[in-house]
Amino acid sequence: MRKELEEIAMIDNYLHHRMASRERITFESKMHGNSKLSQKVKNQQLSYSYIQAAGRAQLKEELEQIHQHLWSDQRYHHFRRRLKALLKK
Amino acid sequence: MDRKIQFQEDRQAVFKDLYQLSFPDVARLIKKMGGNYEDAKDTFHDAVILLYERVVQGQETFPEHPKAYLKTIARNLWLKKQQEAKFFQQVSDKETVPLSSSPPTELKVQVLQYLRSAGKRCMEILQAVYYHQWSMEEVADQFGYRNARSATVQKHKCLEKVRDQVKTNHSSPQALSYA
Repeated sequence: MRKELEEIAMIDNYLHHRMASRERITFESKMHGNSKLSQKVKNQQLSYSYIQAAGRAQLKEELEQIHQHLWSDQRYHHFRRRLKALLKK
Repeated sequence: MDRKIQFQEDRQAVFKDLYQLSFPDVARLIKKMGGNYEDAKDTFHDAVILLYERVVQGQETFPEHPKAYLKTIARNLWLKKQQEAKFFQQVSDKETVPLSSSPPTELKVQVLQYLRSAGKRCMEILQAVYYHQWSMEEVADQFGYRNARSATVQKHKCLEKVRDQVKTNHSSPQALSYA
């Protein structure tokens, strides 16, 4: 398990451009001869894309909640009025 | 307070401020450009998200005039959406227009949904690290790990889990499967 996690950390560094150039070249040549490793790198890259998409989805939900809040809470009456006036023009 | 720091420590307060400051103008702009209220809301949300990513991930400084900045982003996003709609219309009448909030084409929506539900805690940790750019100390603090080092170990374990799901669902061109 520990070796697997170390490899994940290494791929993490590689994909986020944190490797020194010598280390990077060594790693890339390792990938070249090892399709299993290349596949792991590909899948880890995809994983980061999913994490990014999940982050966006979460923000979208938070903004939706704020929208609902601004429309239901008494305190934001002036904001709603200003908006309605602007949209009438 | 530095807005970037505030974005990371209390982003919802910043979102609320931006909403009150900028939404009315953006709504008016989108309406003038032919969109409806729902379009305005979606576009505004996308603009705020873009701003967040640029400041938090992209190392941009928080704009001096956020209202003007968001208006510009919103205008560009809306124009882009309309161009894409036109393109898909030309290609085929039956094509669906991609929503701005949908993930890029290589990702699968069902996999994203599965990860966010079944893998909720892991995704939250990974989002904190990679999307919100928290330090490992902050992650340890928020998620209840003893220190940055044990949080880092957990981060790698979670990455492994996500990668396994991705492997299962992207290995063949066939239908999705959940191992």
